Amino acid sequence: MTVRHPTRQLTEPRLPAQEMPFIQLENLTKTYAGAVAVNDVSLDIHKGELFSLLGASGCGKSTLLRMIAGLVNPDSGKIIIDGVDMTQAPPYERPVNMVFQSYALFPHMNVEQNVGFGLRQENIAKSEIKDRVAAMLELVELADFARRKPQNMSGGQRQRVALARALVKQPKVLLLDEPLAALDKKLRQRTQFELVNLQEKTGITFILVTHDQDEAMTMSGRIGVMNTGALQQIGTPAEIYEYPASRYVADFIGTANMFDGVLGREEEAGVSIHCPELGHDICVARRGLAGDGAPLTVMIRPEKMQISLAPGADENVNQVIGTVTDIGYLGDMSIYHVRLASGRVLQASQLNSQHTSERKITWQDQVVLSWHADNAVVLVQ
Amino acid sequence: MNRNARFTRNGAGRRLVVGVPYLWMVVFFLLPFLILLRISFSESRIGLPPYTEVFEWLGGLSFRVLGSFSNYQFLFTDDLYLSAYANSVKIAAISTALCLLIGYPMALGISRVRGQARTLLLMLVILPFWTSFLIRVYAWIGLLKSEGLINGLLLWAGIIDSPLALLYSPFAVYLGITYSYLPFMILPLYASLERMDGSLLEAAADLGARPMAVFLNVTLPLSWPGVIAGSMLVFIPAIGEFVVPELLGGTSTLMIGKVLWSEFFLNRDWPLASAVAIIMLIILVLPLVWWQRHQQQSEGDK
Repeated sequence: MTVRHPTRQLTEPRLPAQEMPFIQLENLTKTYAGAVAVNDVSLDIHKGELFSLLGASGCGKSTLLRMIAGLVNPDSGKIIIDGVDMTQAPPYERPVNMVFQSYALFPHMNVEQNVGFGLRQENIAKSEIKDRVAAMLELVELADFARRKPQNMSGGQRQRVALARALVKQPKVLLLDEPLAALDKKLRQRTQFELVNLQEKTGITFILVTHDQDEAMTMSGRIGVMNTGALQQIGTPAEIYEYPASRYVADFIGTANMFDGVLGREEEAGVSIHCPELGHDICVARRGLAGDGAPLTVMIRPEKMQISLAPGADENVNQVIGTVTDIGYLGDMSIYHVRLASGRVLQASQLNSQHTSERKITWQDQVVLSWHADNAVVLVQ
Repeated sequence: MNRNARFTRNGAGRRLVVGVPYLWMVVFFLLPFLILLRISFSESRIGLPPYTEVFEWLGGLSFRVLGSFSNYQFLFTDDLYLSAYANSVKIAAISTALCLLIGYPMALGISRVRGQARTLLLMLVILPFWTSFLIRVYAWIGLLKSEGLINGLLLWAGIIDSPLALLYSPFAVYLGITYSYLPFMILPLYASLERMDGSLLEAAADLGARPMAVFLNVTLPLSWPGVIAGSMLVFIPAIGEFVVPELLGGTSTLMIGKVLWSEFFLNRDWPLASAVAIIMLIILVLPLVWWQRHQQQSEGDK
């Protein structure tokens, strides 16, 4: 059995192809007291891209970001920004600015002084500093708060000060470490779109670290999923969701029904896979499968399954029968837990597209779950 | 009913907790101060007590004032007292500056190391307190005197030909005060530096500030309360310092503590000594008031 490279499953075109990546990370490794924080990470990021590093806490995503900023020195590997090797450069010499998770606003300076801090470190005329700070405060809609101390501002306002303070330096790359984690849900959603607009307006390359998959999916052009210090998969949000490269990614992003299977014979529509938990073989459209009789995992997203009371007629559709044990009503959609004869519970979701108080399917109903061969993904890792 | 009972009990407890320190301050600070203030307006006499009455009761509510400002007038006519005050302020100010110069890097260093090493370094700062202050000052005599350790070492190494007059000099007084009060500078500085959010320093570096600019623009202003607190803790006791100039200083180093002592114990002029003490207190209270105002201002900012 050959192990597929995570990027071989790409079905969507990449972002504008470029001769040379803007940021090149080569084999970066960092160890803290014997524990590996970042393990041999290589990554190319393009100019003007909004790239997210996504992973659970402790996966090494923040360490990787801090390496790009120069706040952490890698044990080995290279960091090249816009063609210049910056691996050994101190943070104050890098064309990179960061929005810290805690915002790290200087408490002894007002908003204006905070935003102007970075410019005062350069040889810039006072009048120009004043103009640029004023323009930046206008951009983040904080012009009226110039004299306010950060302690007297709300979380959302502080976040915008931190953003303005980094952007006013006109960096080649803006690093954002969980910039929205401290905001409440409504504000977070609004700020997500504001950040994307700002990125498009300024054209600056954004690298965002987040543990929130919704945030990464909404905002990013591409996502790098990290686990235990290594990059698991790099791709567009759709690639990562629809065609996860490993069990870890499938499980981490969204909800996934996964079951073990053994590769069977080839058929017209795809390959047949023997899944003991489902009770019978299923058919999966072929996607770079290799080997015969090899153990593998089949993954189906809940919304890819149709739930109905009567079996369908289409032969190209996989079908399993089960009993509804739980229904979760979320407003826009409902989630059904369906127990199979083997005892395995699958999750299926369906849009509540009709305005009706009467549910067609209810508890203890016997239902048929069906899905097209195209909608299941085979994972070998 | 029940809640009411608990409320009064809490009230009594609170009064006790607040009352004890107040009582302490009244008995051991305010009353002695008032006694001192009264004596400073009287005149010295031979007898017990060695000073005259300030008020004479005429019965009922009427009384006659006998006291006068003569002691204070005397202080301002004799150069000795004015120069002793000026000298004390100068020595205290220079010693405070020395403590700050030596203590700041030490406090910064301690706040930047982690774990066991930090505990060890803090222990080393506090360790001298385990030995009596007096004994530590005496130890400096052994180090500084003509046939002492430092002169012996310099002679042996051939750096000097004859012993340096280290002891009984202003140098010895500065050394003694700086040495004795250094921990009082380091500890508040350490406390304010240790509290500092490390991400602020990272943010400053990220925004293009070189290490020196980070220090001047972020570290120093944010540790300002520690600088003020440490300076007060050194300056205030240093002004009235008696032991160090007495043991290490020569006759030329005039400090107000020594003058006070000799007025009290040699001249037995309690009223004049009291006036000296009251003026010293006023000199000390002024910076304290300024500090308090500064504190309130910075709190008002938050």
